Amino acid sequence: MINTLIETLVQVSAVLGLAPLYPGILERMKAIVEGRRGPSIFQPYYDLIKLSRKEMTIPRNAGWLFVNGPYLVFSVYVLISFVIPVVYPRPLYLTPVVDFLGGALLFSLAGFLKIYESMESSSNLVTLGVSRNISFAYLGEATLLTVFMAVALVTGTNNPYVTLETIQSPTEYLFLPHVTASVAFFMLWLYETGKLPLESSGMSEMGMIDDSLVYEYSGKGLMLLKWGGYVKSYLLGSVLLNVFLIPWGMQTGILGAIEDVGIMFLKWLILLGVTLVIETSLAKFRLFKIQDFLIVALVLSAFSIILTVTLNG
Amino acid sequence: MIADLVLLVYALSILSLAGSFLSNRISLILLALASGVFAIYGATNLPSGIFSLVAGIVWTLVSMYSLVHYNNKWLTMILSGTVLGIIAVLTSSNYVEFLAGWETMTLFSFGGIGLYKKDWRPALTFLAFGELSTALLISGFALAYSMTGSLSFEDLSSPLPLIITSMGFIVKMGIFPFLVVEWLPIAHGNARSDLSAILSATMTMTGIYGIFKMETLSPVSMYLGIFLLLIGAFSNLFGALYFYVSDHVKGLLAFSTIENNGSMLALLGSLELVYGNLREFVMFSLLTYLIAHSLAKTGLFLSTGYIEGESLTTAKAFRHGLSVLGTVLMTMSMSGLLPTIGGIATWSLLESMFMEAITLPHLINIVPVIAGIMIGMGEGFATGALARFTSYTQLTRQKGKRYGIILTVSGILLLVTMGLAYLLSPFNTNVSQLGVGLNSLISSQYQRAFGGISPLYVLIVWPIIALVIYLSLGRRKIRVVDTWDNGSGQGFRYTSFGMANNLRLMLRALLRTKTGSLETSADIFWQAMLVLVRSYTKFSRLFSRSFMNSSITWYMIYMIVAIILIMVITL
Amino acid sequence: MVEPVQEIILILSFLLPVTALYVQGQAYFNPAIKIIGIQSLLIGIISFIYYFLTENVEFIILGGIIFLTRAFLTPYILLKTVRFKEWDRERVKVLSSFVVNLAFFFSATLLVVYAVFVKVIPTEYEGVIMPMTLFFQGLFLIASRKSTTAHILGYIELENSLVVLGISLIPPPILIDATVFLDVLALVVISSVIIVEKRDHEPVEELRG
Repeated sequence: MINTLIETLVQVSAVLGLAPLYPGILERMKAIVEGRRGPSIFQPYYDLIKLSRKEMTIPRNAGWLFVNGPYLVFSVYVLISFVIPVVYPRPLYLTPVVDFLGGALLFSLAGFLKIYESMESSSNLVTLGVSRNISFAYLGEATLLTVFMAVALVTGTNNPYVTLETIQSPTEYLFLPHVTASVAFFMLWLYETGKLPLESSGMSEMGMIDDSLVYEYSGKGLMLLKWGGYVKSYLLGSVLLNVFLIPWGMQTGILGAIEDVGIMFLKWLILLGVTLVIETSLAKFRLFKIQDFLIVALVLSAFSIILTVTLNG
Repeated sequence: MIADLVLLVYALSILSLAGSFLSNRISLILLALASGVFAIYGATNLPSGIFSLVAGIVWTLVSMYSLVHYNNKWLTMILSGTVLGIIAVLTSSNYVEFLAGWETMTLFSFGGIGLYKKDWRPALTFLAFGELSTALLISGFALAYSMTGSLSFEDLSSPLPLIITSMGFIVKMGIFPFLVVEWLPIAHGNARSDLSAILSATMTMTGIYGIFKMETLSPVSMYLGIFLLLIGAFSNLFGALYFYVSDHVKGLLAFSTIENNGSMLALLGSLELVYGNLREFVMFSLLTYLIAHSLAKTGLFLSTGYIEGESLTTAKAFRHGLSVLGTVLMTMSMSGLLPTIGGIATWSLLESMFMEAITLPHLINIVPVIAGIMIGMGEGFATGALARFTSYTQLTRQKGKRYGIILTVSGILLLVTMGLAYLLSPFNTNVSQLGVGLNSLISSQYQRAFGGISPLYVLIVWPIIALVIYLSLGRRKIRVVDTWDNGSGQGFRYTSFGMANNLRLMLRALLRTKTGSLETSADIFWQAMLVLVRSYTKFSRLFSRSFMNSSITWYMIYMIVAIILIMVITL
Repeated sequence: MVEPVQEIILILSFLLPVTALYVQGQAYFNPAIKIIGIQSLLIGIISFIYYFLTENVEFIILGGIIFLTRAFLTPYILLKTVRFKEWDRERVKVLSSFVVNLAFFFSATLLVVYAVFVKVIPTEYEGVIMPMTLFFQGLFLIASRKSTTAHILGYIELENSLVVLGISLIPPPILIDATVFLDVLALVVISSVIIVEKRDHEPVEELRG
C-alpha cells in the first residue's frame, strides 16, 4: 500500500519535473549539430520560472474560460500521468480510472479545452491556428484510435500495462502489425508535438498551429500551457517508448521506481536522437501536405489491424 | 401503476393540445407536466424505459424554454401534437398504435415547419420523406401481420419485416442513402428552435426505438447487422463532414444529428452480430449514446434561440458566463469527452467496435474495424465543427449579455446523467482497487475483461487537481488589453466560414469545392443523384424515341420477347 | 509466425509495398530510380536471410546476383545513360494521385489478403501478401503514369514482385538466377535506349498513322 503510494509519487513527480528537461536537451543537441553553442539544457525551466512571475494580460473579450482554462488543461495532463505506464511498469494509484482508450479521450479533452479557451480571446491569429488545428483533427483522432485498436487487437485487451508486458517477448515485438502500428504512432507523435517535418510550433504565421493556441496568453497562464505542452510531449513520447518501441528494462519496487526514472531518461535520449536526425535533415511540409502525412499514418495503422486480423486467423 | 402513469401522460398531453386553443401558457405548463410524468414512467421500467425517460427530460426542458421565450398558440399546439405523437409511438403495444403515433408526429411537425417561416417547400420535403418512411413501415408491418396473424408486437419467424421497416426508420433518421437530399437539415433548420430540438433529439430517436423494437421481435440477421453497421459508420463520417463545412446555424446541428444517428445505427447493427456479454455491453453503449445525444442536442438547438441570424458567419451572438459553461459542457459531451455522459457513450461505442473486431468470425471482423476508423474520423470532424459552433455562438464577438438558464441546466444535466450510465452499466466491479472505489468502474467485457473507465473519478479528481494547482500557484495579477490582430483593425474578422475553408480546400475532390472569390462546396451525393436522374431521363428519352416510337414492329418484338421471358420464368 | 526470423522477413517484405508507394507518389525521376534500387536491395537481403533459414547456397548466389544487377547495376545504368537533371519530373498531380494510390494500395491489399489467400492457401499466405501487393502496385504505376521512365520502373517492380514470390514459395533452381540476371541486363539496356528515344507516352499517340 505504502509502496504503491511512493511509486505513484515517483511517477507523477518525475513526469512533471523532468518533462521540461527533454525539449531543453533537444534544443541543445540541435544547436550543437548546427554548430552553435545553444542555450543551457535547463532553459525551459528558466522560462517557466520567469513566466510564473509575470502578470497575466488578457484580451478584452476573455471570460472565465480563458483565465482558468490553463489550470484545467494542466490538471488533465497531471491526471493522465497517473494512468499510463510512463515511468513505472505496474499499475499505480488511480490507474484504473481510465483504460488506454479513455486515456486517449483525456488527451482529446485537453486539446478541446485548449481550443475553447483560446477562442475566447477572439483574436484573428488564434482563430487561424484553431482553424488549422481542427482541420487536421479528423485524421489525428482516427489515427490515434486506430493505433489503440491495433494494440488492443494484438493483446486482446485495452489495458496499457498488459500491452507493455505482452510485447516484451521478441515474437510479439517483431510482429509486423506491431511494427506498423509503432511507425504510425511515431508519426502521430511528431504531429502532436509539432516537430519537423510538420513544425506546428513557432510563431511563424505561415505554419503555426499549436503555438497560436497560446498566442494571447501570458504570465501564469502561458507558463501552465507551456509546461502542459512539455508534459503532453513527455507522456505521448513515453507511451511510444514503453508500449511500442522499447518495452524492455523497466524495474519494479520502490528502488526500481527510482531506477526507472533514469532508465526512462536513457530511452528518451534515444528518441531525442532519432528526432534530432529528422529535425535537422528534413524540410518543412506545406500546410496541406500535413494531411498526406497523417493519411500515411492512418493507413499504416489500419494496415496493422488488417494484418493482425489476417495473421492471427 | 405503470398503466396509470401512461394514462396520466396521455390525459395531460391531450389536455395540453386542447388547452393550446385557450392559452399558450396553460398548454405549455400541461406539456411540461406530461413530460415530467413521462420521464418518471420511463424511470420506472429501465433499461428499455430509457427512451421515455430521455424524451420526458427533453420535452420538459423544451416546454420550459418555450414558456419563457415564445408566445404563439399555433406553434405551441404543434409542439404538443408532435409530443403526443411521439408518446404514442413510444408507448404503443401494437402496430396500429405505432403507425397512428408516427403519422400524428409527422403531420404536426410538417405544420410546424411550414408555419414558422410561411415557407412550405422545406415542410413539403419533410412530409415527402415522412410519408416515404410511413409507406415502408406499413408494408413491413403488413408483412409481420401476415406472419403472425396478430397486430400486436409478437415474435416473428423471419427477419424480412425487420429489414423493410429498418429502411423506413432509416429514412426518418436521414441516414446515408437519404442523406443525399439533405432533407433533414433543411427541415430541421426551418423550424423554430424548440420544435427543431424536439425533431432532432426525439423524433429521430423514435427511429432508433423502432429498429430496436423490431430487432427484439425478429430473429437475428447477420447481413442486416453488417449493413446497418456499415451505413451507420458511413453516415457518421459524412454527416460529420457536412456538419463541419455547413454554415447554417441550425442546419449544421441537423447534420450533427445525422452523425450521431449514424453511430447509434452502427450499434443497432452490432446488436445483430454479437451475443453474450458483448451484446449487453453494446446495448449499454446504445442507451448511453441515446441519452447523451438527445440531451446535448436539445440544449444546443435551444441555444440557437439566443442567436439572431441564420448564418454563423453573420449571426449576432450574445453571451453570459453561465451560458458559456452550459454550452461548453454540451459540446464537450457531443465531442465525446469525459467526464460527461457523451464521453462514456463514445468510449463505449469505440470499445464495442474494438471488441467486435476481436470476437467476430474471421471475414466479418473487418467490418467493425472499418466502421471504427470511419467513426474515428467522424469524431474528429465533429469535434472541430462543434468548436466552430461554440466559438461563434458563445465565445467570440459578443453583442451583449443574454443569459439562458436553460443552457446551464442542460449542460449540467450531461454531468448528472452520468449516474444513469452507472445504472445501465452491465458490469460493475465491487472491488475497490488502487484507490478507485465507490463501485465506480464501468468495465467492458467480451468473454474476458477488456477495459474500464471511472467517469465519476475523473469528475472528482480532475477539479481537485486543478484546485490544488490553482492554490499552489498563488495569486495572479490580471490586466485587460486589446488583442493584436496584425494591424487589421476591428473591421476584419476571421469568420466561421473562413474557419472551415481549410477543409473545403483540402477535400475539394470530395466536397466539389469551386475556388474563386468565395469557396463553395456542394453535396457530392446530391450531385451523384442529379447525374443519375439526368442520365436516366436521357436514357428513357433515347429508349422511347428509338423503340417506343409507335412503330408497330417494335411493339410486336417487345410483346414476343416479353412472352418468351414470362414463359422462361414460369417454366 | 512463431519464429522471429520469419517475422523479420515479413517486416522486410512489408517495406517493398512501402517503397512502391514512394515511387508512386514521386514525380521526380532521380529519387524514384534510387528507391527502386533500394527495393531490390531489400529483396537481396531477404534472399540472404532465407539462406540462414534453409542453408541452401543458391539463396546466396541469388542474393548476390540481385545485389549486383538489380540493386546496383540497374539504377546505375539508368541514371548514367539517361542523365536526368535533378529537376526532371513528370507532369502529374502528385497530391491527388497520392490519395488515389493510397486507396488503391489499401483496397488491393484487402482484396489480396481476403478474397484470394485466406480462401485458397490458408496456411502459407503470409509470404505471398507483400509480393502480390507489390505486383498490383507495379501494374498501377504503369497504368497511372505516362512517362517512359515510370513505365520501366513499373516493369522492374513487377519483376521484383515475381522474384520475391519465387524466393518465398520455392527453393530457387539455378535457372531463376540466370533469368534474373539476363532479364535485368536486357531490360536495362533496352529500356535506357527507349527512354533516351522517347520520354513520354500519350494515350492515343500509338494509334496515329
